[in-house]
Amino acid sequence: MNKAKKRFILLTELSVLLLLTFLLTVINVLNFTMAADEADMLTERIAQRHGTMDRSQLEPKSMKPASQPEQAPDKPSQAVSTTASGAGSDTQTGDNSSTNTENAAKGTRPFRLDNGRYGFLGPDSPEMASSLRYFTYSFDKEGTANVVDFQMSSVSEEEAAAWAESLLGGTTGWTNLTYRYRVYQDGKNTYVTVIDQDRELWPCYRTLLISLFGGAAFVIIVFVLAQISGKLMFKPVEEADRKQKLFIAKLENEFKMPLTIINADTEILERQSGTNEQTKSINKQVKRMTRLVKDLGFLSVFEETESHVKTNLSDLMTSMLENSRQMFSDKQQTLTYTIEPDITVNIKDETVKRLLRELIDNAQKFSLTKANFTLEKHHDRIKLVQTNDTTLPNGSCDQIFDRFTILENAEGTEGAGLGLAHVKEIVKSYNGRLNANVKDGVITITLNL
Amino acid sequence: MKLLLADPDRDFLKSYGTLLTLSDHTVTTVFDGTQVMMKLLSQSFDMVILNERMHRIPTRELIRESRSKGIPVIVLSKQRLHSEMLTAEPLASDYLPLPFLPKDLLEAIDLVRRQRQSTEILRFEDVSIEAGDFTLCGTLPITAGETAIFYVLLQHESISDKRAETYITALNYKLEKLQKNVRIRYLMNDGYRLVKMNYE
Repeated sequence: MNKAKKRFILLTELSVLLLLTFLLTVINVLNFTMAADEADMLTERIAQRHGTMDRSQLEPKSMKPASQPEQAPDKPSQAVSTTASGAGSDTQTGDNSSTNTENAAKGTRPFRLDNGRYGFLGPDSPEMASSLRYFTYSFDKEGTANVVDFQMSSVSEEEAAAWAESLLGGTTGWTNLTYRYRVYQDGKNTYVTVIDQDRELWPCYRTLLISLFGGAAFVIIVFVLAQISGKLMFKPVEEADRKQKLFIAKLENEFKMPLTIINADTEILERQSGTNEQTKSINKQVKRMTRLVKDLGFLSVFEETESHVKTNLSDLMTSMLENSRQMFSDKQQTLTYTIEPDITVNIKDETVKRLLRELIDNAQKFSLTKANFTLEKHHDRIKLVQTNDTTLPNGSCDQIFDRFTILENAEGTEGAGLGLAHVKEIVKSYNGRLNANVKDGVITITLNL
Repeated sequence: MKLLLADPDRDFLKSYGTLLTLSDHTVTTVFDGTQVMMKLLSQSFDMVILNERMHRIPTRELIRESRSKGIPVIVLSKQRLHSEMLTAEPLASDYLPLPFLPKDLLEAIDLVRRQRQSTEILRFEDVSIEAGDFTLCGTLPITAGETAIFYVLLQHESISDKRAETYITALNYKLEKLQKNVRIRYLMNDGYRLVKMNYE
């Protein structure tokens, strides 16, 4: 039951983690991709203008009356290259600025899209020119750097020139983490534009941080909720399991007395009227039922406590194996064992006997030619290993410990598939571990107590 | 033998009363603890056979009363025989787990009877068992099954009792409790044997 509960919690956690990781990854990747796209739009716009933004809108002309003639757009004051500064004049802004001026005069929002609606202008926003931090250098065929436009305070012109030169050979991308660059040509010169995107990227990083911490907090909350809901969800199942075990225990006890009485009545019949087919049949069926009741009863409520009487596991195991030697010989099977002496356990001898009996019976039933047992003690842990040859395929086969499991190679073998289930119940009740593995035609059952 | 058979199940009393009578025993059947106590006070019996869960008066009180009168007791139990059961106080002369065959009960009665009548004292080193008294070294109570195992070990015979390991575990526990340096150990090619332990 605990295994099912743990599996439920683990699967819930994994599902939430996968879904959350997917969602947050998509959101953040989109965020950064869009930031890169926006930066590329800006560098493209600068490239269209031969390395500079139109700075004419920095002037407070928009507040002048619409009837006054507009001044020619200023060239960037830092521009030293005549080619580049000449290219700075922009014909695209004329219409918008007149419209915007009119809007400003009316006290309405000054910028409109071409379709007449208000909205985001992006790189076309006149404010962009004033807020954008960038520089552009041109390189002639001799590789001489000329500054086209320089609107950056975090680096000197000399540093910027060296930076731009280092970017020659590329096309576009991120440099120094938060700077976007573009390399382009006009036939004579190669231009390198670098724009600062620190402010634009900050919301992206903030979203990433929120995603990481928020996601972690969410996973922890889900874990706690899964624990609580798992407990609530499995409570009725655990209760049903407990009731089932109690029922089996009661059933076992209730069957014991009638079986004992039937035995006596059959004996009386045989003494009075002699043995006949019917009394023989009754005896046979009672024996079968007795065996089944014993098997079921052992599975009922196995809540063992430590025994105050020590059981000498080494002696008990040696004795039981020696007593079973003939059974192995009868089936032409070889039995070998290595047992460390004087290993004792505070487990009821009856329980230990049951555990060993099931393992020995299992080895005897399913060995092809040989079986081996090993018992040793490491620190406080007792390790019991049983191996035998098998036709089972390689891999783990822990299902052999499940109730009523009879594997394919065991067809026709006597038993209800309860033997190793008993072993599992015993090992579990003493907080031990057990597993079964097949490798190269040998099955190994390992018990750690 | 004059037997007192006590069990809350009247069908059981009827069947086993008949069976034991057919086996030449004189049987008195009762179904609760009070009746057992009254019978013990008013009549004499050679042996008492009790269910482990008697009504009105607990089985352990009935065992104590029987033992005080020197009457051996066989307890019929729904539990499987285990070594802790054999170290209980008060201890019955033997325990028989349900379900059992009629011959199991008859053999148990016979074993307890033979030991009760025996005056033999079994000895190994400083360990002794007074069979008729069901005691180990005159102090710790012991069952007929444990005495039988001890006897077999003294005779160097092979053990055939399926419950031998349980009796051996209980005996080793009692020997350790009495601080005797004798134990029952499994020796390779020799089986279970009484051995003297050398503690340095």
